[in-house]
Amino acid sequence: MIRKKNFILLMFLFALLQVSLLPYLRLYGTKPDLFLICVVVASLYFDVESALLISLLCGILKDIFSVNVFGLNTFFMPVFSFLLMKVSRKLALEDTPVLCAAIFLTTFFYAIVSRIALGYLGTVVPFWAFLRISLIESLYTAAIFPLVFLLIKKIARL
Amino acid sequence: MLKLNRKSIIAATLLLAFLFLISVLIPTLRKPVLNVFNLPMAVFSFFRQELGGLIFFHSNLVQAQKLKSKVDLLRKQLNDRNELYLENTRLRSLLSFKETIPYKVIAARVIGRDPSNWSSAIIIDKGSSNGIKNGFVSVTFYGLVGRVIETSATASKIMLLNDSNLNVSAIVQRSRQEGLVCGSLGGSLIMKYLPKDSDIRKSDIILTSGLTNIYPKGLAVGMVVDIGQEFSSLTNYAIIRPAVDFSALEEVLVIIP
Repeated sequence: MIRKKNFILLMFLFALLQVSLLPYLRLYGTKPDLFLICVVVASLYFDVESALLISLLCGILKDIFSVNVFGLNTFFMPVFSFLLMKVSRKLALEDTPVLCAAIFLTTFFYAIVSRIALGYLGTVVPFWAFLRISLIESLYTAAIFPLVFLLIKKIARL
Repeated sequence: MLKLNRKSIIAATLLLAFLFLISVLIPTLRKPVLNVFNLPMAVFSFFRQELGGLIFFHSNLVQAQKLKSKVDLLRKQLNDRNELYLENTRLRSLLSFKETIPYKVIAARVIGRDPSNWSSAIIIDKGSSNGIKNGFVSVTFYGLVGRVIETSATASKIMLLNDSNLNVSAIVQRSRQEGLVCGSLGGSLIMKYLPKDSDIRKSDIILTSGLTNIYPKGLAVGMVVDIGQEFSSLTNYAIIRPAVDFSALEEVLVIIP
């Protein structure tokens, strides 16, 4: 229970960081996605209900601060969480380098899905902008993951 | 009575003469003597200093710590002052701009940014309780920032000009050539639908055209940095460097129509 409470508090802290501090730490105009890190960690370390609830909260928080059509992240984050839980049953995602790779792939696939969904909803993202943003975002998120994971482990006592 | 014999008078005179000679020679002797004593003096001084350092180590340490904390405090105060000075400069330019433009405006502070990489927006600390409504245009001293797309009582979201969903009808200041400026989620904008024979050059200034009622006419959008041909070869496009640095926005003005 303490773990979940702390994790949710940490998630709110990450939300604040995502909208206030991270935009100033952009790399080639792209910032890492702390929400996706939360989703991946929650999917791997919590039970199904909690992981889905946390992913849903992450999606809602991201959509609240975002200008995209409401519901995009609220919908996709729990879906990704569910898929990750399925994958984690087949593959051992425990070591930090493996988790980094998982974060990279998740962020990249999430970018692809977002682009398709945004395109369907009428927002056209130029292909080169998509490639630049998705690759840098995935690498950046994977690169900061060990540090963020350390913080999550300490505070949420995983 | 003092008896002055001849011998003693001569001795005294010689002594005085010697002293006078030495006194006269002193300035000329000063430099070579100093040169000779320079090295031993330095060595002595070094040892004295080091010895003093050893003897007064503790008091020096305490003093150094005190001074260090004082320096830290002063440095922090200096940083605070610099920050205040920069804020003051920004607000002054914003105020002077506010006084020069013919619209009623509301000044707002940027309190957040879009968490996603797929859109570009800022959150400001003024909302519907301050009279801001959806569709209002946001500007700075440098030019057009974007458009209000969502408001709550105390905060509003502004879609920035570099968002791919925001299109602005614009003209080239020099030739009055019209086009449509769109965002590209990066540091530059694209001006589309320019005829093949359009009169547009690098370094041309792009302004809002005022054709739609959304954006007031004459707001600076940016400067042309490159011109190219669309894939279809039917029209040209221009790459625009925005007049406003969207990544460094701290205060904006919202125009009340």
